Amino acid sequence: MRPILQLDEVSKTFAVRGKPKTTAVDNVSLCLYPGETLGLVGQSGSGKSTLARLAARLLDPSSGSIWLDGRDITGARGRQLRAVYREMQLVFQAPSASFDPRKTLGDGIGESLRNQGCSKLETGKRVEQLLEQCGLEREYARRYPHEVSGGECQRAALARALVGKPKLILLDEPTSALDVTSQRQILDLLAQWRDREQLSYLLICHNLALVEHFCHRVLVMDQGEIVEQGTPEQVIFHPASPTARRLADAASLWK
Amino acid sequence: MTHSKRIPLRFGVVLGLALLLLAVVVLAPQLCPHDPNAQTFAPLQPPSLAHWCGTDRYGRDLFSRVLVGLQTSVCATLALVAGITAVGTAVGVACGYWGGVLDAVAMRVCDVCLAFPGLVLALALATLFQGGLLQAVLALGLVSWPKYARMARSQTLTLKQADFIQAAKLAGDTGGQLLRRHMLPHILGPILVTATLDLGTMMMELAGLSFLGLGAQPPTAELGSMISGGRSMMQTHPWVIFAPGGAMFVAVAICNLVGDGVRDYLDPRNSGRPLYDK
Repeated sequence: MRPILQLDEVSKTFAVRGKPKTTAVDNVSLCLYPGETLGLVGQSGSGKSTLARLAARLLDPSSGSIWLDGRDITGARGRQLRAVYREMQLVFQAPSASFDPRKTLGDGIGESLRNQGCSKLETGKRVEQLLEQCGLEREYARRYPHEVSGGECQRAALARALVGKPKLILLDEPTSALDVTSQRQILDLLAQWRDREQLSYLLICHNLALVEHFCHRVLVMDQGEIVEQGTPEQVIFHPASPTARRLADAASLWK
Repeated sequence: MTHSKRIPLRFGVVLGLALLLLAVVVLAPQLCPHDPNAQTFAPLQPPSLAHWCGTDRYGRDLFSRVLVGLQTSVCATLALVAGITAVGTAVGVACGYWGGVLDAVAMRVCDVCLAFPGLVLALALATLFQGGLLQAVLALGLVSWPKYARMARSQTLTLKQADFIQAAKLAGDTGGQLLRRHMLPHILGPILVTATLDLGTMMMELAGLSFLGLGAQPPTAELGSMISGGRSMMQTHPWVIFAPGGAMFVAVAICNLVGDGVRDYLDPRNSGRPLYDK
């Protein structure tokens, strides 16, 4: 089967004048298949979010190549990149920061549709429909990001990611800023969409219990490298790498 | 809920005064009781019912000259501030957004401009341009735009990294759409505040150049050059200076009050209530 997302030996180095270079992502390769949910776990600063932004082409890799559904998108620019974003979306960690504070949630959600030439009426209808599917009332389209809670904003962010009917969604710690109830609701919503639309997810998170419940495969990252991969059971209950063991031990403390 | 803010009473009064000033500026030729350049009256008459501000040494009606001078000063200041705001913002946003060689070159030019005291550099440039109102505006414009460029650039650099800008890229916004829909509305607030606060300063600096003979040239009525023309008579015929000086004072005060009001009105911490209303 052809992977929907493939990263081949991708590295990202940040150079700051007067300081040694920092390698945030070091020679990472991964494949994500249609309908699959791939978990990416690791400690803070291990390079997970950088990897997601590289995959979403919000950052340029220092080396390596990125493939989306069999097409090399490493050097995609302008129109080509906009076509990529019709198939791939990213849900940010901080939902309210990912909406323009001067625009309503409806404006933010419908922006991609308007860019594709949909009429205002058509966009409005689709936005309201999606908000309802994401568990929000239609009138939320007229609210501003600061007028809704974190959970509601994350639902709106999901609606925005789903509006263009992408094949792949990169989820950068989508539940980390939410309370347990909201986390559960968001995950249920994601699972529904995955089953209904055959969506693929790359889920970045710290929470191993969530990974166990939600992901088909898990990658463990440490200092920019993939140090372990396997099924959630393998990684959580039989960790091979010190990083995975530390994460599993830390998670078991709370049980 | 709505984002519109109620305009507090005192800010409303200041805005009313600013509108009145603008009306006087626009209607100045119609409001003049006499031809401002006609030398038809007795020279150096004190203020009277016939000549509200007296006459100058050439027998011209000072009230008419102050009205026309105010028009010249205010229009030149507005053109200057609009020009430096537009150029500075455009350069700053382009540098911040695209970076590269354009950024490096433009920012070094800004560094050079900002390394000199602004008015001294403007004096040198105005001298080089051999005087005149347009030349004075140009000289002040050339030394004043870097402040706006710096501000717009730093705002753009900060905004460029913001999640909502990245989200807009993911929504398929082109570079132009990103700038127009998401970046400029955020950048223009602080720029607008600086521009309104600069109105008074720029009017004074422009009048300063005219005072030194590098701005408006005779017989053009301009407040700075009128003060300059009357300075030798300050002790014997003070109205020759008081009339343009008073008009300048009122105009600059209104500009500064509008600037303060706009700053406080747009400051989210004040919930739309200017500080001087507390």
